[in-house]
Amino acid sequence: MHELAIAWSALTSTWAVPAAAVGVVWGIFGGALPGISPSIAMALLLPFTYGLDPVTAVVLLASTYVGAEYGGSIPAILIRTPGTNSAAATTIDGYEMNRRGEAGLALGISLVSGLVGGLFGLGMLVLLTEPLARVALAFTPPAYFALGILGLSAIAGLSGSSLLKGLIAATVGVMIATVGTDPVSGVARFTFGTAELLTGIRPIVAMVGLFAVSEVLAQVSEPAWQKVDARETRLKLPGWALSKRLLRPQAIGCAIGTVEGVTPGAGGTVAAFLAYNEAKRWSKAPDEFGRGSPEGVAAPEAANNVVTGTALVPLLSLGIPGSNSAAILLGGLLIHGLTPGPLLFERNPDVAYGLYAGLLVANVFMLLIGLVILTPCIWLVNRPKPYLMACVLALVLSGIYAIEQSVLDVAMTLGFGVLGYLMRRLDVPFLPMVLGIVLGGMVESSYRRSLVLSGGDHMIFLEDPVSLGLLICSLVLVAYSLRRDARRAPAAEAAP
Amino acid sequence: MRGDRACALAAIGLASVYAWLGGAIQESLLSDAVGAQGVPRALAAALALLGALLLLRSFRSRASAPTAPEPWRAHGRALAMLGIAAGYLLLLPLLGYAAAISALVAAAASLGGARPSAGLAAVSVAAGAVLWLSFAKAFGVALPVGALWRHVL
Repeated sequence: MHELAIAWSALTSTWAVPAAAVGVVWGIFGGALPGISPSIAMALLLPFTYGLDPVTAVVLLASTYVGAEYGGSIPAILIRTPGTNSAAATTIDGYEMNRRGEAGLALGISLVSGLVGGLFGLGMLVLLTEPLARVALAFTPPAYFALGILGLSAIAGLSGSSLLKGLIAATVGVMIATVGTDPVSGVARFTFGTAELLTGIRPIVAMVGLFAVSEVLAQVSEPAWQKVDARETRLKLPGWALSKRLLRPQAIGCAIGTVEGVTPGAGGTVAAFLAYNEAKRWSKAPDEFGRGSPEGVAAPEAANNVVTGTALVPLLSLGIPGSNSAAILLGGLLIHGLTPGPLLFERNPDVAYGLYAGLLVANVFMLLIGLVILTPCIWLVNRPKPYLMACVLALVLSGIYAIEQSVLDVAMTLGFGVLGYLMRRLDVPFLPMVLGIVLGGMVESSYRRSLVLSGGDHMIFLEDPVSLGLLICSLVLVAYSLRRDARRAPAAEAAP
Repeated sequence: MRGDRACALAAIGLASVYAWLGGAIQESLLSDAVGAQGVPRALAAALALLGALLLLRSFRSRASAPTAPEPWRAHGRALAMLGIAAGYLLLLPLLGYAAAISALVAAAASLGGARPSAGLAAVSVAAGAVLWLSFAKAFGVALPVGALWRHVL
């Protein structure tokens, strides 16, 4: 009760509420622009926080994070362009729903699931910070390796009709992740003497190329591409029956997002893909996934929005920023002379509890602002296709250039677009490739660090309890997927 | 099946090139037991194996009814769109961001079937202006001004 009073006082005695509204609007705007990541949107506000009181400053930054994580799903659904890395999984079924003429419903599901995830993540942050912090501390290099393998096990479920082609795509993805600097010795690999490649190929460059540019190329190659379909023109929130159906994928997203969020370095992208895969596995209609399943939108959206709350657990409880966005928030705290970690709750309870209250307000603003802006967004993407696709191409090329002002990044995005176009023609799924790119670096670096720790003994992966548990989970999930596919194959052949 | 064979051959080809490039990676004195070449070597072997398995499967499976090849005209339009994007990259340092992105929108929309009109010009200029305001003004991204304008102004 005392904490509630502190939170209320922090909200009402400062500019925290208007700051939450500004942060959410700014975050949605930044998150919807490919290339402007949540951390960039937050970093751009950092100089403005100098003159603000500490509570308003941290609420402004945290609200931007909430808005940006949600904003990434808007272009993912409407133009097949993930605005942020973590929105890539939403693209799969969100865009298919849009193509089916259900853009309004897809955006409504994304908004509601984002709200459910955001509030659940906040609840976890408030109630379970201490136990969740212990989960973060339990993650050693072998556990990170096993977590990466667990993520890669989703390939079996994301490969569509051919597991072999999915594995080829995933291997190529991991190969792409090896470009850059060797994680142990620091030697340059596959950089061709280019300094810009030393930091590797950014996942967003590959995702935007594979999803958005390949879509533009595929659309332009269709003879009747200038026709406009009759579509939903307004935002549509899910009804009671659909909401009940979405409870399970949302719960899966919340559970996975909680664990992934508190694990430093894992983040919303892995959470969203894992949640998508598990929602498909536990769905009563798994065949709808990839063809515009509402559950395929709900699970990843809930997962990546839970992360906005739980990613702050290591920061607030241990003082460790687990992601770029948490590092910017850490910067915001340090600017005001505040020490993150357990002492924050003792010395500056107004800031700590004010942040909790600010996150709650930010999630409410996310819903309200979403209700206002989404219908105009749908109107915008219902313009004649030649104009729409031209603007999509201009947006993605501008967004990718904005990351590092690099022409090479833009050229690589176009290259990935061509690759995506060819993969569509050869019926090769590109989601396993995206997963390989996202997880490849983590798997290799944690594998090699583990072996350095153990003196080359692979038993370290079985001796670490977290690693062992995650590896067993991976094996079980892959075996389950293979068994299910083997059962389905004869049924599909028997069908007329 | 032709698609599977093309995919398998591409995988085997890529694995060969990747293994060849991986062999040229320098080993460091700081290297661990796996080494900087270790993971690329394993990945190349895995990709070659998967490619070979896919190739084998494509020969063993029943031949399906041949599908009509897509007209080259369709691929030509995709190639033209790619050419427009490449042209944008070439024009960017010369014309600057705002003019180059407007030209890209106009060219890409024209390729899609938009007729040359005042509307097309208005949309192109408006899209360029909105994107420039969003990235350059709101997010402070340094966008190229254009060598041409520097000489003119």
